[in-house]
Amino acid sequence: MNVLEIDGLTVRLEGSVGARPVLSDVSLHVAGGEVVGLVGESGSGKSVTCRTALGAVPRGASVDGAVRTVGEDVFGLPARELRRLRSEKVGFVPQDPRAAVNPLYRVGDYVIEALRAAGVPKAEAPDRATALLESVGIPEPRRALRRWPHEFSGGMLQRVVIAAALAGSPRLLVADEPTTALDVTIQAEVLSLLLDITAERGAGLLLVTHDLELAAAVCDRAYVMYAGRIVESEPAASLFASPKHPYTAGLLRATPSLTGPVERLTAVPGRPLGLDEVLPGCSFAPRCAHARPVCDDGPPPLLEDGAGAVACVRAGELAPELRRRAHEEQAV
Amino acid sequence: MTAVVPGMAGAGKGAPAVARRRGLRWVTASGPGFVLAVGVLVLLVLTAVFAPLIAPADPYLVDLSASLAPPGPGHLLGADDSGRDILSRLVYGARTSLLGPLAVVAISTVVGVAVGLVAGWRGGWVDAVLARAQEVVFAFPGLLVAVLAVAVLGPGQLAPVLAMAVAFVPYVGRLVRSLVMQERQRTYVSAYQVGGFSSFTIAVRHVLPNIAGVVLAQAVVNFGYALMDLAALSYLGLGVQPPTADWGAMVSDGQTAILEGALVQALAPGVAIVVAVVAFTVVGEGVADRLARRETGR
Amino acid sequence: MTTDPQSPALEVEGLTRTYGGLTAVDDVSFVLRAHGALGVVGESGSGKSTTARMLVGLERPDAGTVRIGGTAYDAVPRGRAARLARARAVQMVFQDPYLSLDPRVRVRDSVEEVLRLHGTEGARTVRARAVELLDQVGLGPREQEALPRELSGGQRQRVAIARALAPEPDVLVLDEAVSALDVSIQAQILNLLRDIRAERQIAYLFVSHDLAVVRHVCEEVLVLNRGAVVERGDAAEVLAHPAHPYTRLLLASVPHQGWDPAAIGRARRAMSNATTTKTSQGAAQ
Repeated sequence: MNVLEIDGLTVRLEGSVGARPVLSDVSLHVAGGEVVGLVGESGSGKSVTCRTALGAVPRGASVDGAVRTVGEDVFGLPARELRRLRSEKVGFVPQDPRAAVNPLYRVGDYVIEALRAAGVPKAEAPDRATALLESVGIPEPRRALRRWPHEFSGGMLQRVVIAAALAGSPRLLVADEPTTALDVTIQAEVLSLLLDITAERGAGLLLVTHDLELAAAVCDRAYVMYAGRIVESEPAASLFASPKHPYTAGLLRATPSLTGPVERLTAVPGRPLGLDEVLPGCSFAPRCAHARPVCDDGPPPLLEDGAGAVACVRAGELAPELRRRAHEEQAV
Repeated sequence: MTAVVPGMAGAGKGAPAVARRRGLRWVTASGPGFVLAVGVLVLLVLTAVFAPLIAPADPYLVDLSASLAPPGPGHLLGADDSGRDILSRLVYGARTSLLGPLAVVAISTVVGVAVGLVAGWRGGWVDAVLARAQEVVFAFPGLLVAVLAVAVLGPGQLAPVLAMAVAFVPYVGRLVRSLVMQERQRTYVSAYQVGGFSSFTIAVRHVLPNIAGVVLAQAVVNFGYALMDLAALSYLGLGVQPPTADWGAMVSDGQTAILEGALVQALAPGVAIVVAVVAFTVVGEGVADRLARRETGR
Repeated sequence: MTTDPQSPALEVEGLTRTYGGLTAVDDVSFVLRAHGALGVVGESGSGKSTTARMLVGLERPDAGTVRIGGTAYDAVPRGRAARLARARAVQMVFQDPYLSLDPRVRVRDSVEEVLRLHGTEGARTVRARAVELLDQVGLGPREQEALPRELSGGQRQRVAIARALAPEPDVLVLDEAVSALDVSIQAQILNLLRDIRAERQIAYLFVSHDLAVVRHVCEEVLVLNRGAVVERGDAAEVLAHPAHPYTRLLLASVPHQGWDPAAIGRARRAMSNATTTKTSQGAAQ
């Protein structure tokens, strides 16, 4: 069963100078027990997309399309029901745990507040909080309840945030760059915790990241976003082996690797754009080495292609070349 | 001692200043209020500059036959007990009432910025010494210092202006100190240090311009308070001396007339003081709010 | 200043810095050869940024010496001559391009002011030199006229690089200089850094947590853990055959195909347990 279904989501920010598009026709789904990556650079709209799973849209935004989280249409829910959905059925893990936890309250207060919101009786909350902290690997969980956020390292505090996200036994976890603020060796631990949770509880995980290699390493499937649109979706393993969109392939080539000869990187020219900055036609065309006049005709549709889908009118003819290049990268 | 003028002595104390800031914040929340206040200030300055063109009569022309004349075609706001045209005195009074605070704000801002910059940049014992010195100034109510200054230097504008300028230095100094300490942490300051620039150059050429907006906003707010305090001193007969047209002195002159049923003579300058002080505060706080929002929005 | 081309660009001996009871940098020594690139790798708390800040004189070491181009430098430069000499010896590019530029200074002016400080004279010469530097880092006339807020992160980092090159330093310290950038931009800056080193007599001290990036930029690498050097050597060699368990842990932490994050967690805990035991034994003795 899908715990998250986003269908044709278009988001515009209404401003004084007219509507500024943020997302265009984004569709994705996450099944229970599945780990799905949402990959993109700044301005791609990946953060906005994942937050709609909680029914959160930017202030002053107009929304088209549907988002069903654990079977509920989040934009149709009354405010009370939406709060219930957020506290009981969805867990959210933000990038910076320091910004998520109020430094003036004890760690226990933070977790217990989440439990109370999820409907746990007051008397049971401390015991449940202890159990949650223990389950995310906090040593001496009962004492940890009495400690302050500043006494925790970034990695440990992220565990606390994850514990609070688990308060309502969620069916869906949304993690927005959960390890970007953490050290590399801690990143692995926090990720393995998230993966364990998904495996044990059968919850779906939507993992938002800028790190293509990370997504490929831990996800079942991944969506690649560029300028407010999904440009490619693949089983994660094929992302490396056979990227189908020139942007995905370009990102892979632009990433320095730990193996192979050290040579000049093939950089993607220009900078990542937002949807409001791109011309009609393929958003990536101005930066794409393979662009042809046909690319400016209109935004290319996301078409099924093997196990995945790709939004590139030249995907078919480019496939052999992109795959060959990817293999060169891998072989060395 | 300080209880003599409790309503107006606040400028000399720390806590009331904070309360005043909070209390007036609601005004600034509204856009039209801000615009209106700016309009009032522009009008005020124009009035002061072009007083001879605007005033319908000579503000010093005594005409005892018109003593306490009610508002009418001859005297739009009536005449005072000496028969001088109140509107004309109000218009000319804008000059003295604005020039005094201008001097106070100019002196206190220059000195306060220097003190705050040194304290915030150097830190350590320099900061500690300057902080203690400013606390001593804080401890004396501004109006009390002004009264003492008048006792030493004699009545007139000079003594109150100097005293109020000294009293306002800590407000500017503390603000600048905290802004400089914050700004110092920014990486661009380190970048200039690595580039080989001297502390003086970095502080004056880069840090100062980046905090200038907030300091300016504070100066505008201070202007309002200085105007009020100087008016209070004139009212007490310690500042601007008769027959010079000045709002504070006019209120004082008008008090006796109230007993005779003529309200305008005291009321008109009183209203002018209130309107001016509110306008300065609204504009200053409004600018500060805007700058703060831009800062967080970055 | 006469610089012997044979002497190393940078020699650091016994650099130490403690904050309160905590040793941030513990007796760190290394040599950066002329025209070389040395990567300093570590996580937060490894002391890598403190080391970088001590090299450029932003932080005062408790002990140790810094020699650049064979000349010894004071801990923190005092006086105009010392400041300028230090600035011409070593420059730095900071991590966050959004904070490292004065928001009020236009791009070209920010380069020109450095040039003027370091003795370039004549408005026309200064202008020409600034334009040349900015061209070199890939910023066109439109960007040169811009304020920092009108530029993207990558463009701002280019400005920071141009400004750091202006005094023609022997050594450029890059403190996580590409970490805040998007992958596609990061590649552009890495290529730029490569080109600059190919064209100039300059050496890099490249501080980063990203092993792949260090491997791409540097010939040599130094691994720091809790303020101390745990491994050093040829970058390709160290990253291909790490000798120290901490280096191995760092390498294993980089996501790759067939990655097992759980195993890394176990390894990390085992290592920190080992260190804790060692320290507590040390304290007991």
